[in-house]
Amino acid sequence: MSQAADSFSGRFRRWARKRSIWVFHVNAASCNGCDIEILAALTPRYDAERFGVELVPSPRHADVLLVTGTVNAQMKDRLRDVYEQIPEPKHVVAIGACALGGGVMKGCYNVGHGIDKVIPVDLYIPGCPPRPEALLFGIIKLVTGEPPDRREE
Amino acid sequence: MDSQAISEIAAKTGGQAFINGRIATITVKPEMLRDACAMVSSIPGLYHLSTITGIDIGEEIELQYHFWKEREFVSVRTMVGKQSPQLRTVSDVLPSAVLYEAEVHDMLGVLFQGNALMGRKLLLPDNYPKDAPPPLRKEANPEEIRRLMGLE
Repeated sequence: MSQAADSFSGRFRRWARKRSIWVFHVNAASCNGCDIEILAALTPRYDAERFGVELVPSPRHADVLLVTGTVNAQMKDRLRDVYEQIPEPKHVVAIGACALGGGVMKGCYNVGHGIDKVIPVDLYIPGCPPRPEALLFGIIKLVTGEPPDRREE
Repeated sequence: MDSQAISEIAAKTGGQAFINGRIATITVKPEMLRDACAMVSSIPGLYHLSTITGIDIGEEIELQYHFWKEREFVSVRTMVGKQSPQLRTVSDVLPSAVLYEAEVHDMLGVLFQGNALMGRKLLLPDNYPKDAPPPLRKEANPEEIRRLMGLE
């Protein structure tokens, strides 16, 4: 942990961020299965907003980048562009089998094997597609450092 | 299935008809393909060109033009040589064929004379290597193409 992160303002920012996780979603050649699970996680049934998780329309407002799908040749540079637009500190979550290592598309002529070859990834959520509970668990544990059911109020 | 009309088209274009229940296939020579497609699409109700399938079968490239009508399918099938696969477009009689032909051009390198989208990329990545064969040809090596595009 650096000096700035341990200072009062650093601790304050970290505390504030724990209750306000704004996510931006990029579909990098996904089949839409994982995208629909992300939408399901934002619905009132799973109610991601009780943890402060909100989908924002611009990467410049986001704290966490959710990437679904295997990155193909055409999407590679675009994904890097989006990643660079997110202000620091930022986290990247790879969602689904395709984002982790190519999935069923592995071996195709235009498919990269995992998004971690393009941008640094902080968290991998496996599944084809992963459940909304898994998405929320992963995102919140990544940002706050503890799983959602054990958080102190 | 109007099997009489299918057999008639096959006889007129010098091809062979194969009818199995509600699925029919007409195999024709490449130069007769456009006429066969025009005749099939003039059968009442059978105006919908569903897609064009291209398959690399070794020495030749097989093209199938799939027409669809409620619960009935008619495919017009032809083979073109692999060395310089050329064919006249059907997009002047069936305008919806423009994109399908452009896709086959991308993926298998078949040249459709008269199609407005020839010579440019429709679905392939911008940095697809120029020397590499089209991706769905048997001689294409996916690992080599990935390496040339910087994906490995």
